[in-house]
Amino acid sequence: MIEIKNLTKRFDKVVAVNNLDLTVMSGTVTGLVGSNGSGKSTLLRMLAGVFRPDGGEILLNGASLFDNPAAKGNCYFIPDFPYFYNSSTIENTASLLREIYPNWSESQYEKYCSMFPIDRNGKIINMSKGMQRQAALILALSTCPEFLFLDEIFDGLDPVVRHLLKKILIEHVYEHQLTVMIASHNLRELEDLCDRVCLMHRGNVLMERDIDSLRLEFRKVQIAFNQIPNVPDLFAGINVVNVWRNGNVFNVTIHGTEADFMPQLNALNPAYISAMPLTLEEIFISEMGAAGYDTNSII
Amino acid sequence: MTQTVSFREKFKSGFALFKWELKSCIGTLIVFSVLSSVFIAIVLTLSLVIGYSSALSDDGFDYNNVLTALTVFQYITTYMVFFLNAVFTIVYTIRIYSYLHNKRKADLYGSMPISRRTFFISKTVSAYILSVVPTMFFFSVIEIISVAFGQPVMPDIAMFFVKLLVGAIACISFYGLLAVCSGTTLNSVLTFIAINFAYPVTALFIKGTIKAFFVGMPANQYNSSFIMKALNPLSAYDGTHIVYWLIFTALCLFLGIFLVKKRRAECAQTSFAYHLPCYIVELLIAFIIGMFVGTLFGSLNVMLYGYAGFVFGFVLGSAPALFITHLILYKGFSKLWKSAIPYGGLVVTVVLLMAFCNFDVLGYNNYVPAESSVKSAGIIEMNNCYCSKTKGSFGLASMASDDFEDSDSIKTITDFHRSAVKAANLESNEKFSSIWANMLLSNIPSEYFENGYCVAYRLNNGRLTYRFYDSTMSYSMFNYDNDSFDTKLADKITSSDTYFKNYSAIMNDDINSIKMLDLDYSGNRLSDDGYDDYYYYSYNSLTLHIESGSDISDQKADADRKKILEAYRKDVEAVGRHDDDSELFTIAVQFEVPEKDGLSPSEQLISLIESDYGRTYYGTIWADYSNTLAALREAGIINSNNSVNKSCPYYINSNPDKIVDY
Repeated sequence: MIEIKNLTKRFDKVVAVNNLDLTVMSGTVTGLVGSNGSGKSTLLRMLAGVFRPDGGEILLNGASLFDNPAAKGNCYFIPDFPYFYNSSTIENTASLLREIYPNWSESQYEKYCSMFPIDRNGKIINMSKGMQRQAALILALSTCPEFLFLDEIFDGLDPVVRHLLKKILIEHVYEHQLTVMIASHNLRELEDLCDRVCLMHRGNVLMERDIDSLRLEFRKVQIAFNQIPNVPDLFAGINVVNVWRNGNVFNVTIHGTEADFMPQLNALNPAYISAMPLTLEEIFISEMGAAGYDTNSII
Repeated sequence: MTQTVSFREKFKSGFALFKWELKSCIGTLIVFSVLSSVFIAIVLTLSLVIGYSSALSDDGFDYNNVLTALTVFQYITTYMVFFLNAVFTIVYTIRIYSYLHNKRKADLYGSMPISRRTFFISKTVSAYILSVVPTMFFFSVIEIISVAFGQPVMPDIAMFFVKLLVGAIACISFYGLLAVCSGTTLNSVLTFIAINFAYPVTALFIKGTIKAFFVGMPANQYNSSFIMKALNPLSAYDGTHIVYWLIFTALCLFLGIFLVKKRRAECAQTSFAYHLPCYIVELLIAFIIGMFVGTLFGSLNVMLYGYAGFVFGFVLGSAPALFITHLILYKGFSKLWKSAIPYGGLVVTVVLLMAFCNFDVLGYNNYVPAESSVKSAGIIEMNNCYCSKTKGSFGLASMASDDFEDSDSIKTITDFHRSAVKAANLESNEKFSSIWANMLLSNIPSEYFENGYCVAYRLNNGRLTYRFYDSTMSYSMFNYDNDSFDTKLADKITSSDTYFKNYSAIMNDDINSIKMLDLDYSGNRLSDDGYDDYYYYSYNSLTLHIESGSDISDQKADADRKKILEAYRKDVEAVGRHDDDSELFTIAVQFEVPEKDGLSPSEQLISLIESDYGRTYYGTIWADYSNTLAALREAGIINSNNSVNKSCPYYINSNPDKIVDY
């Protein structure tokens, strides 16, 4: 289990992570989503022991992580731009990792080398971005970590490998109680993979929820009127997250289920009404908009 | 909850990292090995070809020529491997510590299950090994080749390894510490270079200033001190001050280990993680440029004896220097105000200290103790002083201060001191301009080799006071009034028996290291030092060389020399020296010059230039020197009536045909 308590990290005057509290249960996949500069990568780096927190603490299975080799032996971090020496190959990098990671598994290494379409003796630096990530993944999974921290891991992977990666991670989580935290802007991929999602903004957690319940909590409602009812507030009493109007047509994001809002909307006698669950991306945009991250002004 | 890792696990991880470093540096190692091998092969081939061709002559084959060629081979290849090592050490070291300066590397290494300290130690040890072991291998190859051809390893060459070891670990540790403090590799390299070069110049400026403003202060005693190069680990390759460099290395290492744990990984690719090295560089450079411009303006001598000009020039030079250095190190103006605080401290300190120096607040320059306050005193003529009991200016001065307790001698000494003070013309306004001269020329240890005098007092309160003066002041730009420097007063002291006993080599050098002992019989009185007159008289006199020959073994000659000198010393102690004309012989002695431990190559060169090797010392044997005459009789050199024994083997070996016998 990962316990993050009052975690703070500053870079000079910039507060990257601000009194963040989060608990991640073992054997889950948590997606970290958020705006650029929201502190996702900083959080992962603190989780991996790269950065020292300025305040608060991180406990992995009860153990403090920073500069604690024993605890770090159960973690692996793949950053957004993994580093490889000019002469690094998967094989010679494995020769280092197998001596310093206590849970290194030769059988896993062989297994993943055969699963991913990659030359283990080729120079990693000469490979494409996606291939470099595959190399990093092979090495990471071979260390049999308890905690895997991945930053923008889907970036550059082709659909087949993305699918393979998701399959491997799910297997690992199921078989070895692996705990995964993935920071990504690719919400579509996270949707398939994550149990939970943590939405970050300005160094804080805006929302942390089970992904299935989250999707059920929001509805995207399209409602059209022949004539707009003459009432002061059309959606009074409904938990509206966002409204966009085009003439007599309203697109409304509502926090709640059909049972909560349909009777009230039907009472307005609309010409057309439909409600459907939001995608993660839509939830992200609407929540960020609610948090003051004005997508319209950015666009 | 904190989990711990055993030492074995740490060692295993550290060793794994070392192997990883070795792999990543393999290309550089190969280049070093190829260059060294090729160079050794070329020099060996040329040496053997030249050696063998010169060994072949009409008289046969002289293998000594081959051995000489191999000596040349040893020296050239050792120097070359030494030089290559220094270059490649820089390459390895920069590469090894770059993990601290690259964000992506910081991600990789920071997330590994190795503590930061283990990581740093492992990296440092890797740098030591990569620097020292390949070079040791090639030194061994050179030595094996030499021994195989019958040429033993020269001690100088063996010493190279010690120099290399000390230099390499000192430089690597210092760079490691700077790398921990810096955010970029460029800044690490720049601060390393800047501190290495700026510190000795700063030390020279300080020494030059002290020398210029405090006449008589023996600042030159610090010429070969570690203080002059305390932050210049490149000078550790000289092989001097080994203990200091080992302590320096340990300090850098421990400080690096301490700081690396607290270092913020996010400082990679920023300017500095810890700002102290940056402040040191900025202050050193600001000081040097400030002093350069300040002394230039000070020597214009406009206001307050040039002091106002100095202050103006110092600020004018140092402020832009600090600003530009800051821009280079920080790539902008960030934290400029933080640098301004120590800079302000520097300016205030320099301005106050320079006022202290310039206006001689303590009256150092004009101070001559009142005779009534002096318990004992002494003078040492540096050109006529040999003392093996003590070393350094302080030791000599301390010894001299106890030489004379009588009031006449004390008056002579204080009079001489006053003449020296007057000669220094201390009202001169040219002190600032003389900083440069003192800074550049004061490296020559003039206290010992110029026409220097040391005046030392032991005051009634037990305090030691001493000054060093140069009768010619040849390196100074002061307006010295040489006429007022009364060396005749000093001669009264230096010609005394006490002085001869305490400071002549003939009385003080190691009796076991006699290289030559000659007896010169003239029947005429020689001057006390015998030096100038010796050549005149030796042309017309009989000189006996007490050395081995066809009839005399080395052992006998050696024993005779020792006996004669021991007896002579006894006589001088018991009888003293005379002013009458009863001298019988002049005794001339040369001693083996001991190894000059602790001298840098430049100092050894100066020592050579100063003809420190093979100097001859003279004494006089009077008729009442019974012990000496008995020793001469025992050795068969003189007869019972003190005339020279012409059947003595020493007489024969001294080639009497070529000398006139009185």
